[in-house]
Amino acid sequence: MRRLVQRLSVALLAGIGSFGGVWLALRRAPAPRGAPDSEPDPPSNDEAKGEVEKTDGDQEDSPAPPRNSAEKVTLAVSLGVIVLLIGAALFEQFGRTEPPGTLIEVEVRVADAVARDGSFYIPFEVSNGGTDPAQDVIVIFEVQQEGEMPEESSVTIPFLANSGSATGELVTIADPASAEITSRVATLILP
Amino acid sequence: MLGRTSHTHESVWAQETDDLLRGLTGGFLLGTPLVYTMETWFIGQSVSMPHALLFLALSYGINLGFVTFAGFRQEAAGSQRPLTDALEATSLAIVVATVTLALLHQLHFGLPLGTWVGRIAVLTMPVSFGVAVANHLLGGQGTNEPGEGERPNSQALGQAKAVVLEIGAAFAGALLLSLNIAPTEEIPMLATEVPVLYLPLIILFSLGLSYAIVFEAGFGGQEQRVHSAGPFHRPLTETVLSYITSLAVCLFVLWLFNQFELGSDDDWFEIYTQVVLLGVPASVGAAAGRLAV
Repeated sequence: MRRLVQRLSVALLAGIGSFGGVWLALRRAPAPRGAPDSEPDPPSNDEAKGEVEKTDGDQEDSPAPPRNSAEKVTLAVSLGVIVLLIGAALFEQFGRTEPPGTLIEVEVRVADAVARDGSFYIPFEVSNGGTDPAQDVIVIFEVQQEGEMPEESSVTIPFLANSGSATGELVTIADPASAEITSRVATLILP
Repeated sequence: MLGRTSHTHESVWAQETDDLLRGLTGGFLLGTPLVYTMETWFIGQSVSMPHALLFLALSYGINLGFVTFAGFRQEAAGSQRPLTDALEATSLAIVVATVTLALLHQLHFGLPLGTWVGRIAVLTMPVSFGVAVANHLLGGQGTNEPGEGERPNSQALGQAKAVVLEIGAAFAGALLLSLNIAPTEEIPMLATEVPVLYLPLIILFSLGLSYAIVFEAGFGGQEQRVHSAGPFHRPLTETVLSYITSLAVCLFVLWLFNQFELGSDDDWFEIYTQVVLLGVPASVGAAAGRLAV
């Protein structure tokens, strides 16, 4: 977090510094483009007519020239990008049907277990079906084979976004084909 | 657009492409260190949507302030259409944030929509600074014509000295940006996360970005570079040599900060991956360094 603050500060200072420099430069500038001491613009052709024809000192007062085709395309694409991102945020905020809060589910895929070097590796997936994210999710597994002491293990998932999931493997000595595996979420932190 | 000096259909598009490229590359220049900061990824994935929209609104506000007074497009001292120019600048910042996050595998289709929106929104703000001031970063075209009392250009220096100067500038620029990122945990972490197939894309992206900054975006000195003679002044040669210099700098600083040890059991491919990943900001720095000399 400290580094983030430092880097944000650097970016902010760079931005403010650049802005200040530009502003000072503009204040010192004798005149904007098209001022009396600058080269006159060459005449424009039909296609870009009205785009450039700047006269002395008209930058402040004259209305903006019409957009050319390239600028229109840029503006349309830019609008599309912004609308897409804002639309996604609004959908995420108002359009979701998941239950409020966190809803953590654990799926242990015993059928996909693989035996390696005397142990069984059983894939699992922890997913958050709620609207809120969860942090430091602790999931506890218990593997119970008849007549044996139960094997207990746990996993901590640093972060689970809403609609997010994390996958991993549970490693057991007991054969999952003949053992009963239970899992539950023990604790989590609301970020 | 203000101050256009040529008005053919092609030139209108070429000028617009230059303006957009300059904005994009400015965003990469200033935004890259924060893109490589894992806290921004974490904040992005846990941020609420109203908060994400606030980040976007602030980005727009920053851009609006800059373009109103400084202008977004080349040679425009102040925008005549600040509202829409700021919108375009914000959109460019979104594109920069999305592309770099995707290249670093911090955006992919396995992630929830909220994480996409949050990460992009959080990074759009710092990147916006770069996009907004791009016109004024490293001077616009024509601003560094050598005049009396200024540093002579590379032809006057002689080819050998010019090559040393260019490589030195690339080295210094790459060092400046990579030193900011190399000691952090992000590079080793990304090296284990980024899929192998992304690496060729990252290399091509670094080369393309470096080329765009120096030869396409219209920052100061571009014309001189394109037209000057010398082995280092062919755009492709210069870009590749500069990238190799950047990679060498990355290798050195990663070793310097103990991200790997020579002669240890570290997997060479992991070292290679780290160097390529750090090569993105390093090549941006190298390009900026070459423009500065």
